[in-house]
Amino acid sequence: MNTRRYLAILLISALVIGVLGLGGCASTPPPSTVDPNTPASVPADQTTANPLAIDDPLSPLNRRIYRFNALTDRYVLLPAVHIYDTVAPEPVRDGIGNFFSNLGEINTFANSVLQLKAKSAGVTASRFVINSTVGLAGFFDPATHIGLNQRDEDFGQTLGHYGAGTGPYLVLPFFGPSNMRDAGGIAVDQGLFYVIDPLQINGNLPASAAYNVFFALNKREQTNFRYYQTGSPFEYLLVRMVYQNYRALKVAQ
Amino acid sequence: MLAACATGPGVEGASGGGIAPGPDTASNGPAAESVAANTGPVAPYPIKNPLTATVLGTPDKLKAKLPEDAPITVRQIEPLIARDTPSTLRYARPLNYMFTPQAKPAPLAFVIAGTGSSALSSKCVLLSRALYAAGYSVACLPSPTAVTFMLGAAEHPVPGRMPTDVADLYRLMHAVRDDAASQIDITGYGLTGWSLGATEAAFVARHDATAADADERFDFSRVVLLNPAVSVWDSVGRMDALLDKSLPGGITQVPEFLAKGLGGLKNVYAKNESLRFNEDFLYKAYESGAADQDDIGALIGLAFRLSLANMAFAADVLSHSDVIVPEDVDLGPYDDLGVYFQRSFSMTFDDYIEQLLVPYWNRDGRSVPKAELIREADLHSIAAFLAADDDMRVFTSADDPILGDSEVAFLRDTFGERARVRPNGGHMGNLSYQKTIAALQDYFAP
Repeated sequence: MNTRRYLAILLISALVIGVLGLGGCASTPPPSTVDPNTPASVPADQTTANPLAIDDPLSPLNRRIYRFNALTDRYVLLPAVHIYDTVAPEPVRDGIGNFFSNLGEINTFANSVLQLKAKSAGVTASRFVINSTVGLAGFFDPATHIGLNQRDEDFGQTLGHYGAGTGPYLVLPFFGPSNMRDAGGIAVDQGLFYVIDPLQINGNLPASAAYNVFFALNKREQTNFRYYQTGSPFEYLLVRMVYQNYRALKVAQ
Repeated sequence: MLAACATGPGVEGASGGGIAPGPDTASNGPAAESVAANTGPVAPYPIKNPLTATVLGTPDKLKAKLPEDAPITVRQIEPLIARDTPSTLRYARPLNYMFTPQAKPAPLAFVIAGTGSSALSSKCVLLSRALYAAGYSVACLPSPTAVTFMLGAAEHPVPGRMPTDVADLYRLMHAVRDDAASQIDITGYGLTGWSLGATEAAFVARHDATAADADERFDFSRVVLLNPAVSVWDSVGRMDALLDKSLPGGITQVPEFLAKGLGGLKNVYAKNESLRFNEDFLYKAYESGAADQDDIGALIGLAFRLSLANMAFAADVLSHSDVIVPEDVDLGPYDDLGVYFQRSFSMTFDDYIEQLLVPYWNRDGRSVPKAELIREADLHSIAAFLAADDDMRVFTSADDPILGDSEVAFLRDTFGERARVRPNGGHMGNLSYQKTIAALQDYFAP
């Protein structure tokens, strides 16, 4: 077990260094959505101000993964979610949603601390304690009822907070729209979760499998996006634009 | 852009459709309240500015409470037109409709979607729930301007000529009825539609009433036009003008406009650490003054333009018009569309008519003058039918930005008592408002 944790930490460190390396010019933070091919003569405020200029050198690969995700969604995920919706009544699904949301507070807390956001860290810690106890292991969310609204921080945002650029746009298999920075962020957040192992399921194959299946079902159920629902031939471009700008807003928060 | 996503006719937000429509699409209230609960004393529709109403819609607490257990499904039917699918459009291949069946014998209501909307639109979800609650089975159909319709149901893939678009819709409605009849017991027919779909519904009703084969008629017992365009080309001209006025630099100003909007959102967002992205967020952003009137106008104009860009691109590819995609370019499924997006997006509605619609109708032996194309898509041309059809209602707002004053007057005069014209609401901003839905349900009640 120790060896595996050690390996996980090594992997995380490598990723962190790699991602920070990508945003190497951290002293002059690159705008999150700027094409590096923008001519130097364009004033900086205008480059940062172009939300449509998105760096996507991997577009051919990204578009293939986008389609792969759409097909996976249609033939695997949505049918599975449909069964989940049929079998589990809404209060149960809400409880499961709360449960995963509560576990997510660990990453939000860690990243709030990393960004020195005291209030966010405090609220998140309080939420976690209250919901894990009074909320019966997170299946209920009494914290929100007493006015402790949920925050949302992840390692991608932490990197952005310290000025790391997004790097090229990426579409990840299963995870969907992302970018180099946020993909690294996901790996770090997952790694942290693995290291902490709050459910003590590391090494327990059936438990890990069950965790991952329910995690995926819950995540998909709560995501309102449907592939090709925009009806637009340009959906890939639109999703890319919305994702990159949405993340820029989250980093600014 | 984000606001346009939530309400505009272009990008449908994220919700609705699919297998499990999100609960936020039509109502956030408790499930399964009775229809009667919608008719108590209700605060008036609050947004006085028509453009703001169009973008923001109805505040949550004033939305109609509709049952969330409506059995909404999406069904696929075989394409009605044999046509090779260009690989760049293959995402739109399945011809879908949204189907909400009653378990017992019931009338079937058709809903025709508005400009650019597919059958998975959130307004399809809203109207399906509303009409299901009123006792109908519901079939929501894609707009003839949706790529999926152009590909699978349109005889002529350059939408905009009313008689042919209506003939395509009518054929689709028969195919949908045949498909639905295997699932439900149909006792009669109703018809509604919103925006362009409402205009089309009026023409479909007339087409049906005058159909040569009486056995093929639906004989709609109730028809409601929700915020129809009167003259389609005047309405889209107003959308062009709105964008010209609110975004004087035209399409080249879009990056700057978006940046400003995002900057405003950033300020709102940064001040509210716990704020999340949802409709309330849009209200907060609006209240905080992050957007002025021109911004709102530009959003609406851009949302329409996005619908137009989708339609123009698909029409060009399907008709080999050589306006957007050069004839010798064969786009693969994974090719970058960036340059074609820019070209499509910079098209005005007027450009579409001049460069795509009119040329298409005047080649390969066809000859239809522009003036006729414009006249055909105008409710004035069927005013006598509309005035005489007691089964038809129109719901609209006096301040609907797609209508001119004379057109609102035309609807009032033609429909008389059968017109429900509210002072405020913009273009469908009050569609999900309790009283609008209640009036719709009251009229449709079997």
